[in-house]
Amino acid sequence: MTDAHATLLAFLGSFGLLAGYAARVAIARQQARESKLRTPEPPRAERRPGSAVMTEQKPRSTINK
Amino acid sequence: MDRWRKWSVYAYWGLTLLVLGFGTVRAVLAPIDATWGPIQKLLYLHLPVAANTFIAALIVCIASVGYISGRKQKWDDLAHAAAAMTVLNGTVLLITGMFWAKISWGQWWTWSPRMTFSLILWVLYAVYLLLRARIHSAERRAVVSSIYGVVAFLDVPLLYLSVKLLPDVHPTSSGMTPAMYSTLWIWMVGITMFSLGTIALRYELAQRLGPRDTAPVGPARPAVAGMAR
Repeated sequence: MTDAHATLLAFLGSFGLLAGYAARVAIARQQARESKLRTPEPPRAERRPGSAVMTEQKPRSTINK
Repeated sequence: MDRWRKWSVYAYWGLTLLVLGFGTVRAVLAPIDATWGPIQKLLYLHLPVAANTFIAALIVCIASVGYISGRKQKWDDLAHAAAAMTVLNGTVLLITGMFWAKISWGQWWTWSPRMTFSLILWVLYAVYLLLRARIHSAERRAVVSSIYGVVAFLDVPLLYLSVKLLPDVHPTSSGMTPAMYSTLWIWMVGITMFSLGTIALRYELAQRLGPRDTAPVGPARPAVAGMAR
């Protein structure tokens, strides 16, 4: 292997590592974005037994009667 | 706003590729060094990745201090992203250095101070990543790795001082022509843009995934394969 070949090999190997990592991060980022788009938003108020959200309210129409 | 941001990311990466492509052309066209021969062209990659290894390690240190002082998850995400880049740049630094050593001195490795401290730096940040993978609680992981991130940075001044104070077999850049210097600076800009851009991408990915505890055993993994926190 000549010096020029060794230099080229080192360049290509290094480029492969750098580009491979960047591509991997970019793909993972894209996948994370897509999975977030697919997942529905969770409800704003979490309903727990006994919490104020779970307390049933009477219909307004019955208050004045 | 989102569209503007998307296009700015594309523009940034397009510009980075353009600079690196221009740098490659310049590296091919640059004169061959009379003393070192074609292997001297490796310097255009070797020196910028060395500088960016230090920059990424500095970002890890600053982000770790930020996490320790504020306990905000974003700092831990930034430190993790920068640590991965430190290891990657360190790997390229060692690979190009070993090729240079083989061709110039006839052996793949010499235990010169600069090479030894570079290897120690690489090992320190590789251990940082392994340490993170082994701690399953998100908060504990952030605390431990931030303390480790500050301590690991102590190797960088040692490496810098070893360059200045200790005798070394490393060549100096005094024999470079102006054309070689300009090529080196193009590479320096290109690799720095690439490095910072990749840190930003990884940071954004971590922000999207959010802090999460990992399972100690079994197949439970984050949703994105291969990007375990």
